[in-house]
Amino acid sequence: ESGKSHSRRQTRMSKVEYVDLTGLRVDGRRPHELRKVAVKMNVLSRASGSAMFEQGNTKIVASVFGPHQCTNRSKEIHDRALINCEVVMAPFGGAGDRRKRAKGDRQVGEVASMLRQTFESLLFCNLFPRAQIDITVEVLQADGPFRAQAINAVTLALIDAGLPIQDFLVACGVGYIDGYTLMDLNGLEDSARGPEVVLAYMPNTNKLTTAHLEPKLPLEALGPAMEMALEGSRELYKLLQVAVLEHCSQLATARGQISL
Amino acid sequence: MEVVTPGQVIQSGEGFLRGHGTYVAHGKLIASVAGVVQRVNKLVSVVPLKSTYSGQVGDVVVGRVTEVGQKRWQIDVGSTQGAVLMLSSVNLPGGVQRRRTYEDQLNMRTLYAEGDLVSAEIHSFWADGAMSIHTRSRKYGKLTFGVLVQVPAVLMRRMKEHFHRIDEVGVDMLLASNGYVWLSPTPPEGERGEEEGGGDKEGEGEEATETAPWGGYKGAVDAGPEVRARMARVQQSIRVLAAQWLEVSPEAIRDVYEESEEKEVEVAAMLEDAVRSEVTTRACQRRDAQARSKPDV
Repeated sequence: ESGKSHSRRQTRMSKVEYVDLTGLRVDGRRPHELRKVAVKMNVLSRASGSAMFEQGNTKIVASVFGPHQCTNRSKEIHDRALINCEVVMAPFGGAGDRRKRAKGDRQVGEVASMLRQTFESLLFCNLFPRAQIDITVEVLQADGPFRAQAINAVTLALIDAGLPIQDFLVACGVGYIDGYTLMDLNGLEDSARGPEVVLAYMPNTNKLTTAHLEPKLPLEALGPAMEMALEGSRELYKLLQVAVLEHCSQLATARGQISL
Repeated sequence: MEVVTPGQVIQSGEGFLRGHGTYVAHGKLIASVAGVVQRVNKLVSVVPLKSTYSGQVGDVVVGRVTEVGQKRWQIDVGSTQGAVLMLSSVNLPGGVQRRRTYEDQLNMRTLYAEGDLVSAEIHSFWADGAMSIHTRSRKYGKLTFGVLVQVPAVLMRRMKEHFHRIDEVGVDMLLASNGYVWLSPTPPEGERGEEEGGGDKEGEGEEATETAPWGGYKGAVDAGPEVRARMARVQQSIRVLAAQWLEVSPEAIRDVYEESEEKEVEVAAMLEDAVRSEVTTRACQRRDAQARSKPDV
């Protein structure tokens, strides 16, 4: 009989502890901690504006081209700019799963569509009638979900291009696994296939532009998850603003507009 | 010098005037771009570090013909919209002043075809913000023998004279306000004549067809390896200035050119990271001297 229970114990699968007894996650972070953020602006010399945004091992390059003459006359809008948005996953990017992504992958297309709608309302499009602004997001490395990181990268690229926007747009994702609310999921936590809340937030105007939840989340967990996402966004805003100010000061000094 | 980021509130007194790069919300003036705040009397604006070229009347621009349409050409000058060059705004061959006929319309491609590079001046703006340009002067027209270097338009300052000749180097430069720089070898003595607005020394009479615009020679210009090597160095000097985010002015180009020659830097190596700062020391000194002489805003 002892032999039987012994064999039962052996066939049981080991479970990943997303938050261990001491309260640390798989990568040593606490539930309310962001991964390390790195920002580089003006990374592509040929684009009007560009930025590389890294959060942990997730690396995204966003570039903006425009405003310029509409390439398709029939699509131009007489009193505002047309915004095009494209999201490209680098083949070596590996979003955790090794699935071959078909062209026109719906998930990637959906992120592109979400970005376009979000930034259309953020940009002052009516300042550029009959023009076109092209936004390209390239996901070089995806360690976990990249929706929030794409939004941050595009904000930085638009600022680098000198395009007028109402405010920064910062986004943070929050997951819910085993009853724990976790800020900024990494790849391993994302593979648990739990729900993720992503909020896009305008820090100075204190407004939410986008809220995304996929898949389902218990109702009582929604409030705390959104609170945590807002907290993460505010934290990110501080980091992004410092990066932008540094970049601006560098350029302004080179031009002789500021003397240090 | 105040540097602001989008969404930041700009300190402003009563009765401010809203300039570019800002917007008003809840009675407060808020920045819409990241840049330096500029205050001129009551006008408060934010100048972004980078922006697409938006011209002013009188600017000299260089652009490429993208479309030949009904009585107009569309020229790409790197602005939010293509610039429009009307048939009535060009000089007809022969310098004749007459009403444009249907035949002129059909022969538009003989003047400027798609892909041609043209120098022109901004005449006015359309209601939607598109530029209307003209080539109604002997200095403007098709550019044929030379090299184009593109730099960000923000690095070009407004200047009285856009056409420059560096005699020692033998290069003619056209520094267009939209950041397009056209370099061509200086033509020999006999073929010049357009700068003073006078006639051709060869005495072709009123035949304006013989006088070509600055940089657009009808005949062949003999450009041997020496001239080409010098032009390559000028090109690289301009690119180095742009890479270091310095103002691209004729003096700065000359500074970099001379310094690179003195330090015996190879033309091909000029754009390398380590070398760039070496050849721009004089240009940086000039920039600092200019910044010091400017009164504090």
